[in-house]
Amino acid sequence: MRFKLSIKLTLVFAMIAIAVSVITAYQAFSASRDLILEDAQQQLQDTNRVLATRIENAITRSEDLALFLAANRHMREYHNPGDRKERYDSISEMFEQMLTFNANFMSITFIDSRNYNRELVSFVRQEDSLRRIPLIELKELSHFPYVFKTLRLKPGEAYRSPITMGKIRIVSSDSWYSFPSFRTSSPIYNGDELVGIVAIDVDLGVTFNSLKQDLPSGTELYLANATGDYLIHPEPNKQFGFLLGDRYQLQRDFEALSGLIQQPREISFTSNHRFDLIDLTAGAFMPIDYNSAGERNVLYLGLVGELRSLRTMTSHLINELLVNLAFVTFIGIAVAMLLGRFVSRPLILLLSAMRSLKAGHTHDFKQLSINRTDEIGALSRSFKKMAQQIDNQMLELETQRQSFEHLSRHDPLTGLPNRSYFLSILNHDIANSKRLRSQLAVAFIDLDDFKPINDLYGHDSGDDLLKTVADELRASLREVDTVARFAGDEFLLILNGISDQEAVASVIAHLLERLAQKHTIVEHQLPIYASVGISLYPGDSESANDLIKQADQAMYKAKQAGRNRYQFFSDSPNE
Amino acid sequence: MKTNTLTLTAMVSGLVTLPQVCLATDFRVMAWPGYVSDSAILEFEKRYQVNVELSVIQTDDQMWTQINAPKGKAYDVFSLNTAELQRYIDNNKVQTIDTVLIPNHKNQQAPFDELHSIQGLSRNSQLYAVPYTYSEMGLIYNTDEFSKPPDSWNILWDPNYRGRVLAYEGSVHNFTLAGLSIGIRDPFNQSNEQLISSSKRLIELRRNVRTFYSSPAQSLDYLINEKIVLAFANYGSQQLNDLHKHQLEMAYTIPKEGALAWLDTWAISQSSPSRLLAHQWINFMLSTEVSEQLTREQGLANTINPNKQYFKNDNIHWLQPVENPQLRSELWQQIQQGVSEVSFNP
Repeated sequence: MRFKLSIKLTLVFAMIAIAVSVITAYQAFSASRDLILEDAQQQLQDTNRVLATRIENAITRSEDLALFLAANRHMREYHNPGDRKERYDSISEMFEQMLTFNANFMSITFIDSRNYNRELVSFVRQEDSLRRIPLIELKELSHFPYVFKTLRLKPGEAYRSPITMGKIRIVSSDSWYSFPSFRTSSPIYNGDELVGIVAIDVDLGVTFNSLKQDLPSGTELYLANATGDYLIHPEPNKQFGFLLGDRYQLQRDFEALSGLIQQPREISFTSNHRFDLIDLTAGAFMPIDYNSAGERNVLYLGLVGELRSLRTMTSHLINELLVNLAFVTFIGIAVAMLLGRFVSRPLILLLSAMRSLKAGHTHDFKQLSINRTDEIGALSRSFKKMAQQIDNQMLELETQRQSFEHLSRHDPLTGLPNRSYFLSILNHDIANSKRLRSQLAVAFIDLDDFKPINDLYGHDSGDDLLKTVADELRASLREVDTVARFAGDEFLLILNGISDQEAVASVIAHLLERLAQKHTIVEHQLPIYASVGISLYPGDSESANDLIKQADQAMYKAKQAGRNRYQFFSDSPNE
Repeated sequence: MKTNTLTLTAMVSGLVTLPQVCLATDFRVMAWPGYVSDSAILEFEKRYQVNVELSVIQTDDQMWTQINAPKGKAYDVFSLNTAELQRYIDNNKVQTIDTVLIPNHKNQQAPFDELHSIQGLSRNSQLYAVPYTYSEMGLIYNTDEFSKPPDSWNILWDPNYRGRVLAYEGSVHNFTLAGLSIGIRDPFNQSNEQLISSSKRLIELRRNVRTFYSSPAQSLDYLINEKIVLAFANYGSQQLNDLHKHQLEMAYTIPKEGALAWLDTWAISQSSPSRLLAHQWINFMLSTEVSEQLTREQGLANTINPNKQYFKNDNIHWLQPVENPQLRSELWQQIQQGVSEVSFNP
């Protein structure tokens, strides 16, 4: 209970502090992140354009060499009469040199326009040598699209086939080297006469491998054909999946590229997860025209890179954030504890003041923060005011209660105990006497001739007389004795601790003498006479009512005997 | 602090990436072009919470290579014709099928209501495949070039049409077709001498064709762009459907030698780890929606509303298992590469 409020406050303050620092850090991070992402996309896009140019150059260069070969005299004049053997040898020598100096050329073939487009000269790169295809192995190629498409071309034109997968058997390791390749081919004309075509198989893998080496680490290169099927992919088994019927396509793998195939354009993107702090990547894809001989075709070149700089920044920021958090949390807790004390201590004091008020203890308001100017000060002040008001009201109530009690037990005129109060005092005194084994006397006093005085001199005189009697009775009795007004002009006395009847008689006789002296009642000098009946405890009775009754009877006897006298109950003859 | 960083980032990224994690397992399907639509895949994926990976094959040789690839993918189901199915059963590449798990089998009408009565589907009274679609492989011809339909397959070899003929890439059918054209009585079951004759015939065909196609899309491309006047329709009614769609001046006929016809089925790969799901796939393919979509969009027959007369036609030669598909494939590779004579070492 003591600490609850301050703990709550501490928690709230600390949480606010943490939230503020997290939000601030995230905003800072978010802003820098966006800048980095933008920058990364731009960089990838620029790199991509450079790569695209280099690829286009590599393709164009192969085409230029095909055109160069197609202009070769030995091939143009191959079917002319003369030494065909010599032409064959010089074509072979040229092919061999061309393959030797172009590591990315996998084969060069001279194809006849006749004989179902049978190969005339063909060289193929093998593992680490070149192989001239023997005559007997030369093939008829009329059914190959690149052949019949090239044969339709005009001099100086070249056809490029769609990129497909080339394969070379590596004998030493009994495995296959596969690579993206395309074939560039050009028709050979001798004047207007179509002689054949020359075709070069180009290994694009060589080009791409050299491109890849120039890429920053963590950046992956992608190449896809017009349908989005991968030709180059970081996972080799996704390359040329379409040859086996698999659909490994960039528009299926990159959400941002879903519309690329329908509408070829440059697209750059970042992995689009606002809160993903780890695996952030950026990508840039662009179409490369791969049109050939009137056929429209396109390739898609793409770079996808993990954002290293962003990653570094993220971990840096997170470290900083953690330190900040620890610091802010510590400060937050400290401040919260101080604030908690500042707020909760006066409240605790108020609470304890309230408790003591409840318990009826006197209270000290000095500790309360009465002088504070804030709400707690106002609360303390109004609490103090309230406590004082309660005190005053309690006091008033007590006074009222006491006066009510007095009224209910006393005669308003004389201020003497009334009949019922007298009875309770008598009972109390009897019990006391019983315990002390002492005696007490009850005296019943009735004023003689009170009515005539009342009638003669008026009610005021009567009242004055009764007051005078009361004063006289009071004055002549001891502390331990009791005098009460029984009714009208009747009074009762209790005399405690009396030794014998004589002592009582002497007190009463003395009393009657005092009354018989002249008293000033209004403006008259009057003696007062009274008849007194006396009963004794335990001699006459042990009951309060009986004692009163007996005293009354004895008083009546005293009246009969001639007034202004006293009579003991025990002395009066029973009737 | 380093550990904390890692934990925090791991937590953060965990929170973010969790909902994106694909819970579904992969279900691999290999089928012919047009057999499985994208909408059917989406529906199946949604219904069974799997990720369907579809491979579209274009020749029987390709499929056999894929299924037998030592490091290949574990396919769950694939579509193949009843003749091809036999070597898959022989080599234990397919699982038995329980029609109890295929309630939609009740949709299939005669003759497909009695699966055990259909040749090639079962062995030792165990069912291995459920029919899905069928077609004969007829002859496509240009109506401008031919006032009446060519009556013989030999028209493909006619030098008048050299460079304007389109043939198909598959080895098995080509040998059967070559056998049919030179009058071999049982073109599905050729002796070595007959295979050599057929090889010669196919080299002649190669010299007469513009090229060989593999997919329906490729054939359509050549039909439109290469002035083709005659084509062997490996995909049958599916290709006919394409011709109509593109309003080409082409028609379709069945020559007097008759047409080869395939009955394609769904089979469950021996390597499938999810036998139940595979049955659910087949069941899904036999649903009215999917089967009718196949006919509506691809022009392929379905087994729910089959043409009963079709199966009584004498001119239809249902594909039979061939004597040696491997040998046919090897010979075809040589021919395809352009040899002028096959080297034959059986």
